[in-house]
Amino acid sequence: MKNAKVVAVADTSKSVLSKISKLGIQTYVDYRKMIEKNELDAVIISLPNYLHKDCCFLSSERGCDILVEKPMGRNHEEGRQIADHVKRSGVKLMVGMCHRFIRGCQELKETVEKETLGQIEFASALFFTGPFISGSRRVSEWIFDRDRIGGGALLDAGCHLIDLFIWFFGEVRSVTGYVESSFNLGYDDYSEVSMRFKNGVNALAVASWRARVPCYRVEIVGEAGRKVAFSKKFGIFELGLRKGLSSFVKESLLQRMSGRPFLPLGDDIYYEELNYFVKCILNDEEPKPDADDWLKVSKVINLVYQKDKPINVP
Amino acid sequence: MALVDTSKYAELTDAVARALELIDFGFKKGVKKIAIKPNLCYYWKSTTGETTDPHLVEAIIDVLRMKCEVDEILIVESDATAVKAKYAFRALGYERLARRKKVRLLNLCENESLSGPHVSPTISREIRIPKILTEVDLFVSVPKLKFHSLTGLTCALKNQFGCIPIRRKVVFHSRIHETIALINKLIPPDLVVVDGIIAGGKTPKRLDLIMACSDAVAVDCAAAKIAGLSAGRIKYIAQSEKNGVGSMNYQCVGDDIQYFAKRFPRKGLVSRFARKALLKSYALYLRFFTLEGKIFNKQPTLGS
Repeated sequence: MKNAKVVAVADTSKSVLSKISKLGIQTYVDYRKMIEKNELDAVIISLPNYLHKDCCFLSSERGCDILVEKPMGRNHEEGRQIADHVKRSGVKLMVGMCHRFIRGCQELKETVEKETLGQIEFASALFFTGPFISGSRRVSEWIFDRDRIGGGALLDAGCHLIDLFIWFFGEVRSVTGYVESSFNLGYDDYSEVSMRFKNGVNALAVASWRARVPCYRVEIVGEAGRKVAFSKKFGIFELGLRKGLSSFVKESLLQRMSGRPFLPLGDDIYYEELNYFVKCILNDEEPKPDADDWLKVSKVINLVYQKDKPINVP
Repeated sequence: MALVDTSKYAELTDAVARALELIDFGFKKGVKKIAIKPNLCYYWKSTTGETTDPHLVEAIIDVLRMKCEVDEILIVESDATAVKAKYAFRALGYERLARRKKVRLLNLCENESLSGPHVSPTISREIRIPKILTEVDLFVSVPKLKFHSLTGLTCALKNQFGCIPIRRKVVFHSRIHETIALINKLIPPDLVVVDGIIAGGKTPKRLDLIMACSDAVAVDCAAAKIAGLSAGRIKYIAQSEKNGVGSMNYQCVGDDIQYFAKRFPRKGLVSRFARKALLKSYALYLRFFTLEGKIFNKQPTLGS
């Protein structure tokens, strides 16, 4: 990446750190030490959810601009605390809502803005993913701890869909939602959110951690037709490989063929996201989505978690 | 070997009882402590065709309590490279089952283990065995019937691999057939009840099958037949027979094996050959066209 240099990385994994140190990058086990010992322009926070607040506070106090992974906070209140603190420090903060960088979603946004489908009536999105999808990856302990994770499918995956809809359609007028927990982890592994927007659009977002095969689809329906976005690597090619080969061979093949690490969502969304963040810093622009955008998303999530009781058919 | 179509019974308990009746399973006198080992290989529900259905384990507990005056029933599983038994028990409904049926959940990695004798010279690592499994009066294995990328098939014999009380079982993957044969020799199950209610074939499919037998080798031979695989070509089955764990000759009672074999979602010939060809070409690519291949003569970890 041009105009940016990685100078230090903090991680608890020794094997990760040894690989990184070979690239001439300083390594730390403790992110606090990394932030304190280096004069950093920006930090990328990709920590377990419960550490976001501490790391955001520390980074903003040291004057670092921040790209923080979603969810910014474990709940709406924590998000608000981070947003207030960062605003007072005067640094830039971008939340890693990487779905805004999926090519198909960007085309949907363009369609909505240009009104090529006429008035949009309805939108739907589903995202089946989660920590249990791979079948071979070790799941970190904090994932199983309700206090440290803050929420399940809705907070982890549903937030992307809610953010997309708010990005497309603006202010939310009302929300209803439903969450379920069949894994008995003390938080949701399936969620549905139905939103009514002030511009008259109705939208439904479904997020789940239960599926074994990832699934992603966003659709908008207007007076003059419909348009669908899905990530390329969830297409026939990727699923064909998934069925026929072990994940090791599949991932190696994809890496070799594309010459870069396998990205579960396809496209180069993480690269695009980071590139945009660096550009904003260099041009002194406010990156989007920012802390306020996240608070709009977490407000919806908060409402669903508070009032998730379905009405039983008598 | 008993094969029972569970759809013919109102309750799973009746189906399990019928299966044990068909094999005329003789419960030893004075059975006080029982261990049940389901297959909880990952945080995937039994409906995915990957893990043992807790409802079947519940039915087995009911039947065991009817047949013996049991003091204690344990449901045992060990941590694996990617799974922690504690969380698997919770996520897959075993914690609830344990509370309801008043049985104990036990992580074999957190309990005392014994040093196992080195029988096979090909396995360089020591295989320890859980002490608790040598102390129980009855050891029931409840495997899932499904395909496996490394061994071809997972059923009774492969389920015992999960009894090795270390987390990083991946270290045995290069000698997996020998390890499975050895662990079965060290701690063979007294009774096997196979969960084929939803089987994991090419896709998960409801087969409504339970199989029961006291011979794990025979169970795997029948399972291979149902899955459309040749038992003779699955190394660990032949090796287990050689080790005296059981016999590859079996006789079926109950429902017709062909009925289940026809319904099992097998892998098509095209996909099997295509996969083999792809893997071979990938191995060649690694060998001749990559730097690490040239230096280390590296081969990919291939499934069978």
